Amino acid sequence: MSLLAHHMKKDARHLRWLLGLWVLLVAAEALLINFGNRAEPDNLPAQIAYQMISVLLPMLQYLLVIVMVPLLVQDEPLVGTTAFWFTRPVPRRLLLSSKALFCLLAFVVLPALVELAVLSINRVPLMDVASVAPEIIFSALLRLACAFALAALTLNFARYAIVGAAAIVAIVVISAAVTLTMLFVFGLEETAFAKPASLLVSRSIVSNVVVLLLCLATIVNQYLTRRTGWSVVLAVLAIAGSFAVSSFWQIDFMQRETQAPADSVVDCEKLSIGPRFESADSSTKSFGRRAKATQRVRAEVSVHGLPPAHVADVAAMRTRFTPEGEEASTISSTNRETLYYRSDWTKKNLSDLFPGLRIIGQDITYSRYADILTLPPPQYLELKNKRGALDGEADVLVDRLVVSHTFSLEPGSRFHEGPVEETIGEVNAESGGVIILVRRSQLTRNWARLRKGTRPGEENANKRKVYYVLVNRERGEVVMPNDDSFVDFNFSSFPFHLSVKSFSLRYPADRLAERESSFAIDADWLAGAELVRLARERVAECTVAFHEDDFSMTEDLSSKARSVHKHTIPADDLAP
Amino acid sequence: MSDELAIETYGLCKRFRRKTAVENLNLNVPVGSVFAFLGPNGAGKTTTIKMLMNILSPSSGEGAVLGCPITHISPEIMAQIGYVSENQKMPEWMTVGGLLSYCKPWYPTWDDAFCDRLLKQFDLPMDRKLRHLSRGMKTKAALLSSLAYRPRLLVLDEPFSGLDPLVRDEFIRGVLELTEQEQWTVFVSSHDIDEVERLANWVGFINDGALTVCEPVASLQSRFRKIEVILAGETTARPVLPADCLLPEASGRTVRFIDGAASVPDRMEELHRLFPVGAQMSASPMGLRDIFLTLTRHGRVQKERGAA
Repeated sequence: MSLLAHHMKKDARHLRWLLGLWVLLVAAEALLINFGNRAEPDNLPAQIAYQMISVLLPMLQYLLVIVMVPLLVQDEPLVGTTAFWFTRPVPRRLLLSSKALFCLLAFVVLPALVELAVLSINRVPLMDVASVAPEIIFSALLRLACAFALAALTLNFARYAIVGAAAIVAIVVISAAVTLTMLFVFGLEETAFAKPASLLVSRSIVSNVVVLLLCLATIVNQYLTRRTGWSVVLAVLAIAGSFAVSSFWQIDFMQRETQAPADSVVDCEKLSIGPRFESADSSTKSFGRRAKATQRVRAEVSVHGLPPAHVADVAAMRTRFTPEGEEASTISSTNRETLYYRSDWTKKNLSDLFPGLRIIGQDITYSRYADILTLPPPQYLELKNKRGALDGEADVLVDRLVVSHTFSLEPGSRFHEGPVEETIGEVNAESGGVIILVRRSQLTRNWARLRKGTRPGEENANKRKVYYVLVNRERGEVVMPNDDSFVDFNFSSFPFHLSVKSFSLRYPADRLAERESSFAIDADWLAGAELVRLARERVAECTVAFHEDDFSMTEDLSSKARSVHKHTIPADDLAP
Repeated sequence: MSDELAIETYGLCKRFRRKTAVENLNLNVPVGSVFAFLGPNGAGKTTTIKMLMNILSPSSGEGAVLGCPITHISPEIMAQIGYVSENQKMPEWMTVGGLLSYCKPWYPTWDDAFCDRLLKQFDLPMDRKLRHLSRGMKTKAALLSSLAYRPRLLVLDEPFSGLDPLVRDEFIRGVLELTEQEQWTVFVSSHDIDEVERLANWVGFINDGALTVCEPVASLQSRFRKIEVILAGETTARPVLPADCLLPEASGRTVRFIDGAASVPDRMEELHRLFPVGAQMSASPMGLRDIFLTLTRHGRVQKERGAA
């Protein structure tokens, strides 16, 4: 038996009870992910229980890792002068290899294999399993490396716990200090709150890589040289590097460029922006004495000129205001859209998707505001009643609404596209309507490249992006779902990459029933009905310019808004 | 590096920020000797041993153990060294049997028969965890795991601390028996002189980080004598003693001091010349304990004078 195996066997014997518990927890998590949240969405106790367990299990796992790693490492401590192994012929490299291999097998390989097996069992495509594997391994490796490095720098568990707690407090305090400093000195635009999701993902990846590499350097240095001073310097560098990257890294390598489909009919030249300013809605933002107070002039922005069954989001606006006869007073600002929910699944859009069919339902209208101008309050007071020219351009993200699948109304009817699988669980007729239970399993990749305006896991599940209507073509009717029913209030299983949960769709809405009393869903109607899944598909990213000669910050100018167009994405780039 | 020396150091120093724990240590431990490394608490004994075992790195100077530089002791050399210390943290979750099973593969020279013999001799329970053993039993277990591979050098750092007299006696007898049989080199540090006196044939005194004596015990004991001089008649004049006479004291007509001169006949002749005719002079031999106490006190006196 090699000395490496001999040493690992000793460690396994030492931690056998905790290892057993660890394996149990990994198995429990696998079962939880595999079977998912099968409770009825309106079974609140079951939902709460599921939520608690799905949060508790990963926490317990993490807790066990941060308890087992120091017990393992500090059985042969690397600091102090009293360790048994110091005076035994145990090669340092062998000790490092043994501990590292033990940790990798127990805390990285085992849980990763189990999770990947669960993904495969749940019919996640092999490509998606392969693409999420590095993410799963990396996150396990990262938490392991942090605990390992800390254990290698401390003599015993008590010191490990104290130093660990102190480090966590320090990180929280420094993190808050960095955020507040950014807020006060650079303003809201420079904080993470205002950054695109893809940049935050990029920062997170780079930051984690920095931490991982420096933790590994700390561990190797400590094992091979036992120069604790240098190892502490490396560990502190890991924390500082993480903060620096999280705050200042600007290279957004996780943004996915839009490649317009060949059949896209969007012409950026034809798009226009129609600002309709709300005179009352301006607010002052100020943080601290040193930060500049800003007055925000906001507007509901709508995009015109879209082809049928297309919707658009404004991702950012850059504007310039020049008061009449005062060219020197020109002010300019760059503003991101303030994200408010707006339903794009309107009757009009549905009519475009289902020409000739009667759309039954009610539009949900929410306003979407964007900051048109950002300026210092004194300047706002000086300029608010003046008229002038407003020039601007907006980054517009254009999506096409498509039918992604048609379910037959039978339990077991399935939709499968990449990492998403949806299955109809139950179809329960109720008085004048129907409730359809859908089970969705979805793989969320935190490292997925994101299109502008989307967040991890959002494209296939977020209700802004996916919509379900009940269609009876024989009767020529399309029924929109109850607004409340689609808000799937069953809890998510956020710690897991594979989320399995159910949600219910209710047709028609109760309110709708009152208004359209002539319509009712009965057994006959259901016999010829199908459930249609609608989705958004990104087809273009345009920059649209607009110009307004007679602009005032306090006047509703919707009727006066005129647009000019600016083409920014070459046709070649939009080709698939 | 000499083949005849198991341990040798040259100008070895260890400083902890402003405090110097060991200063300019020149130590030679011959192969086959039982070397007692003596000194009061805080003298630098354990620091020296930790440098010799490459647990601490020296601030300056150099040294070798079994011919290998102390800063580069390889696992192969470590496999020839047995080390037992009162401060050593044993893997207490292990049983005695588990400890022996864990240690065995690291040592190519592990001798199962010898281990069994020692096990019987030490009367250790194989299936009991170390954390459930008394301090004496733990020390025995540590010793057993350090002897079973027949080390060429056995380093014992304060091995008697916390042991009751019976266990101490067993321990010493065990080590004596083994060193006689196996011709090992034993380096034992202690401030318990009486116990060490039975073991050692070489001795080194360290005080305030500096080595004051390093020689065979027999040589040391023949050199150090307690001198008492009773002056004749009403004489009150005191002769000036040689500078290397230690701890001089006078009471009435009696003068006492410790003499540690290298050449005894020369020193006696010198003393007879110093004292007036008629003075009665007597010299009595000293045990290791008395020599140790003398050197320690002398060190303190020198330190106080230096401070003054």
